[in-house]
Amino acid sequence: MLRCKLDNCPVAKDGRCLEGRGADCPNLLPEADVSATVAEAPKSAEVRNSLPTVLEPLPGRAPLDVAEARMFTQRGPSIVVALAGMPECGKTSLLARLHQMFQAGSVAGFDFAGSHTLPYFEELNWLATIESGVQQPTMKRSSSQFDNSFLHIAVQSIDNGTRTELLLNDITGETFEKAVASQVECDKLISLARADHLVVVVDGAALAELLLRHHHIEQTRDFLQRVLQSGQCGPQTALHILISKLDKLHGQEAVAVKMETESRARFGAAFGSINFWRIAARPMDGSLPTEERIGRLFASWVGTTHRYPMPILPVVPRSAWARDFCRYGI
Amino acid sequence: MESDPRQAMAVDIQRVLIIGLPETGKTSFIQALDEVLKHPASAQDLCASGLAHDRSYIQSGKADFLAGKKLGRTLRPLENTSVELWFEHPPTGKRGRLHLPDKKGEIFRDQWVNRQWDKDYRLSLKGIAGALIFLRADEKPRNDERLGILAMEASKQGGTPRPWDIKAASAQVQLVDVLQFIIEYGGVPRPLRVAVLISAWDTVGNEGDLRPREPAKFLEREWSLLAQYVRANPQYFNSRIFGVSAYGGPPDALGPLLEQAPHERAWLVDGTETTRDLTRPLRWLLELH
Repeated sequence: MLRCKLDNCPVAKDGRCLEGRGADCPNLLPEADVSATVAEAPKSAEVRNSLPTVLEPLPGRAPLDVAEARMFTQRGPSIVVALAGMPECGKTSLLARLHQMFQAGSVAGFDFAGSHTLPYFEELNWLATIESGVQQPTMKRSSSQFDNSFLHIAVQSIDNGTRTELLLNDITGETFEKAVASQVECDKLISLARADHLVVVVDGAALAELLLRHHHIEQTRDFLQRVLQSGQCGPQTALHILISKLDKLHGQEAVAVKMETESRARFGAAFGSINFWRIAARPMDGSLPTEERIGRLFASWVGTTHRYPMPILPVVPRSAWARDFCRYGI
Repeated sequence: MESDPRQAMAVDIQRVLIIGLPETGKTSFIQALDEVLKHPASAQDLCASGLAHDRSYIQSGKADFLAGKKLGRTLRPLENTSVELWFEHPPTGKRGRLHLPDKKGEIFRDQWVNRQWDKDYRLSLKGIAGALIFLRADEKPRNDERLGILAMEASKQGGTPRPWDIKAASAQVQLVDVLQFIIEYGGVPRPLRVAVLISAWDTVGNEGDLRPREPAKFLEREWSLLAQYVRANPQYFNSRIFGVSAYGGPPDALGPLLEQAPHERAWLVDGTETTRDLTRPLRWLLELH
């Protein structure tokens, strides 16, 4: 059984490393230490013999830790997307929306090709479903336990058959604030250094509120300054400043324009690219989600990286493939 | 001279895995297939070449099925639920034994819930010739969201939500994950031939029903995540989609259809074609043309 030096690490309970480092985590106690500290009674032969079958574990109960995520980045083209923002700014709603969109059909020219975190995607969305019995749709709050963990989606381009593994890192609002306050805390966000895309989500409802907007804008600005200063992000990173809850921004669009203009001036040259989005993943005013925009955002994640040249594949329509599994039409 | 089927089965054992969540029509299909094999519609169709040694599972539900009654849910403690059907393929003269391990829906749901499976089950996957994947036309493929007007109306009320229960996850998500387990960890042949059988197909196409009447288009629209997953992994799957009505109509309400024998009531849709030949998915899986 694994154990950790850190008191609040859940690795002994569920095998998840608090810092998402998996078996490489320096805080893990060696086996010898474990046996010295945990006197676990051996199972009796009778108990073992009564087990009817040999059960083997299957993956996917929780988000991927860093070691698991690395396996996917080694499979082939892979993109890491880090989402950050103030508490309840709408990051999780965006991830849940993507999951729902794929359940309804292809998204922006990409087919769903698999996911090793399906239970967690479903859990994220549970409190927005009728089946949950919830009267007001809401979102599961992210846990800082998963700050260095990843949701996984594999997609295949309908145009050229290219498969891409997406690893989506949801940094909690609490951690976002800590990272602004402390370089040490920011440095713990090890996924940022590998992120192809940094999506900073700004709460549109907060922008519309006079008493909240300045704080949210400042925190966003300071976070970007922090990750640039630390070198975790930079020209290798595509920056997305995403205003969420568009349905609650109405009448205050000028605030959004001003923030976007200032952000471009201040950070445009420091990142590989800078993009602005305004979305409503789960509007409450009777309107429907801005799925077309969310689809374009998703496509920009899959189709862009500043970390390495994107391979240019011949565009051969699926209908022209000589064999089902040959993307080159051979 | 007629050969002994017991000799044939030793040289040509074809195993097909049945996949599906609970109550998706697996057992009904097996019963209907048994009837069709005994009464082939044409000389080209697969037909029975005898009775398997152990038909206790089929027999246990036979009376109800023949009477058009809905079959009870497969009981979990009954482990010996594998089904054998001896068949003959007249055009090729091929004989053999079709083994349908009625892997109960609970087993697949348990894999989704508990994230583990039986080692013996995994080992049994290695030799399969293909898989039948069951889902129901009248089953909801995903959980409904409170969106648009529903979100507005709801926000005016109050209530206590149910806590998250992984069993309540969307059906198509569970099914995709089970397929991922099989294809990635089961050691099955790749690409695996899979026939997706949409059961309760008699519920499709009624007045006011806007759902596509071709099974492949139905799957694409209604169970899109599953359709995308299979399509986007041609290195894993070679698939074909069918609609099937094992009873020929709604069980417990067949009415005049009961006048017909069960093998005359059952039907299947392949593309735009409707046929009584329920063996077609199996012939496709086993490449018996």
